[in-house]
Amino acid sequence: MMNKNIILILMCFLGFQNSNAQTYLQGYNVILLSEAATCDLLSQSKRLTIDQAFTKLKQIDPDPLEKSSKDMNGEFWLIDDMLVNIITRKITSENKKVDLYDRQKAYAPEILYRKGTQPDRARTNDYFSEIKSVNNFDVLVDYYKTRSFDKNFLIQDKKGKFKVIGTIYVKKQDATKAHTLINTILNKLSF
Amino acid sequence: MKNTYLFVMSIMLCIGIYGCKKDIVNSLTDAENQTSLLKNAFDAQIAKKGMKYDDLSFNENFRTEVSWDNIIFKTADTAIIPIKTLEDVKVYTNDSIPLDLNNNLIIKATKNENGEWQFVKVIFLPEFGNALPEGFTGRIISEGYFDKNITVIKYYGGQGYFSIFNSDNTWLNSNYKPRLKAGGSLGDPRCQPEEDDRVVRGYVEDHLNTVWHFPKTTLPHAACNDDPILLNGGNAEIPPYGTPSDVGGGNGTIGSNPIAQKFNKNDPCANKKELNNRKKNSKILAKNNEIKNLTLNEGPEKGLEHGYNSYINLNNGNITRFTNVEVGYATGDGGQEVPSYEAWNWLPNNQVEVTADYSHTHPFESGPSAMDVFSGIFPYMATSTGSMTALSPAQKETYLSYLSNNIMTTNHDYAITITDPAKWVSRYPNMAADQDKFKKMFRKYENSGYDGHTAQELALLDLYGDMIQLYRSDVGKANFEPVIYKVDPKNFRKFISNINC
Repeated sequence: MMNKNIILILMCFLGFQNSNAQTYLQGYNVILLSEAATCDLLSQSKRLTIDQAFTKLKQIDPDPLEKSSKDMNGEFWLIDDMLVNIITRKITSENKKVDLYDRQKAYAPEILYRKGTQPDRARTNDYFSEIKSVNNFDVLVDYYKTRSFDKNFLIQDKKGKFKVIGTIYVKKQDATKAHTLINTILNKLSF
Repeated sequence: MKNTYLFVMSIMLCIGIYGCKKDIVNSLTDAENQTSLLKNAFDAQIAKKGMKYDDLSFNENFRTEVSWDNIIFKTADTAIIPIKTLEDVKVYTNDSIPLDLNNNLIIKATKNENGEWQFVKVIFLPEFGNALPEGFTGRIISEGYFDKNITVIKYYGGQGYFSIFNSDNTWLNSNYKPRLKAGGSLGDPRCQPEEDDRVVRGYVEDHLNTVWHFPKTTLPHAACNDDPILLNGGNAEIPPYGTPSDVGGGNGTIGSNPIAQKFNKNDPCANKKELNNRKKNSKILAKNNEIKNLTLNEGPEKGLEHGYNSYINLNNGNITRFTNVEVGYATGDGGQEVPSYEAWNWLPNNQVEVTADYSHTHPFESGPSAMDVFSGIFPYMATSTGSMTALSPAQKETYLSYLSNNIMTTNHDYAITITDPAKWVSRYPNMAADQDKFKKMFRKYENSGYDGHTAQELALLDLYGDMIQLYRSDVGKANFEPVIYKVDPKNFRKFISNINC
């Protein structure tokens, strides 16, 4: 009897240790994308688990800020060897709607330089950003064309109910594939 | 009966409204008339003398412009007309404080006994950079535009004790003759005729030049007395020459500068007081409002970052002057290039002023960026070359103790002081890569559900919290508090918290 209990406790412990193994959604106040919008490219059945996503992230970015699967937020898909991360939240008093033009400035590379010297424009020249309306939402798309592993988009539906943060992690040599994928996702997404 | 009452009331109301409107129109017309009559008188005297406007500059070494739109009529017979210098002109005080002459030039217009306007150029030259509580101390130079009258009066604590003027001076000669003591009283330091060289030197666009020289005239007379010189010039109620009351009421505030106190890298609570004191200073407040207005109000530069920096004299903490306002350049895609002027100037007596208080705006919700942390590192890191003498190690330490980076956003005003200079210097070469990392951390916190500016604050503290102290204030208020991040034990989420001072 005693031995059975110990085995049961150990199994529970191991289960908790690997609690992300079958987890598909994670993060503070994060909801399923399917609760807010439809996008046949991002179906629930094709999602990666959080652990699978973290493993893939490390393959793409050798030094990610996320140090374990517990640092991951949202839901993940693997499309054409690119890791797609979608974080969906309701717009509330705590999670406010943002001014996309404000955000565009905040995300953009700032060049503060000493007058009389030449500013380093390497980042600016490599940066892309645009704000546009697609279907029934507004979106800010921004990324470094070549120098980073992540391509980003921030979506807010026109009714002001949902905010979706999207990131595509991609190897640098496949950057243009990710740029195309962003537009594909945006065109297929609808609230 | 009721209709009659309403009719009468309506008529009275109309009369009232019309009457008010008429008063306003008349009063505006009067002011416009007053200014235009004064300007006409000025123009008539130019024409009478066969002069041109170009002949009327305060000095041949820099250009000036008369601000006719900003005239102050002190009485119907006395007007103060501000003068704007079109070049950067600075004069150094005895304690080596550079004064922007732009703030210290006026034309004083007074009517003589015949009812004719007379125009006098007046230069105010405070002796010390800081206001003396008892009143103006320094010299006031007055020179008639259209006559040969000149006087230089030396003031101590708001009182004139020594004056030098030309012998055919129609303002002063008769009034001062009875008390004339050429050369002053022996042994009285207040009576030293320091105008002997008859030249005031200053810097025009940073080049040493003559700002005022005694025009050719007959030998000057001097008045010196233990009793103050009568500021009203004798019988005339209002003197035609300049007095302290013509600018700022004679309280000695002309050209006075705020004084910065040093920061203590180990005492953020003391530092917040100094940050708040600097922010409350009227000159700094005005400058901050200027760049905020340019950033946020309708205009060609709306939405662009603006910045200026304050020079601090390392020998005495005087905030001596501000750099020009710099405006960001939009690079497209939301980005901006923002120049920052980092410099130092050597002053007489081995003193030095350095840009040490750096201020700029962010026209959007944000915290300070990783790059903002390194504003001001150039004077600290620079080494001497053939054409440039760098600050000494001791001066660099002093510089650092005055250094503050101020970032004004739409959500908070922020300040940053350096707590670990060695780390600051060692991380500088990695600044560009750190900026990329900062952006990633910013997004990571946003992905975790933090708002934009909190995400940036946390990212900044993660990246540089071991070498800076971050302070946060409400927008436009002087209530800086040092902040750190803590972890909420209930949900293990980080949050920004004030240090308990």
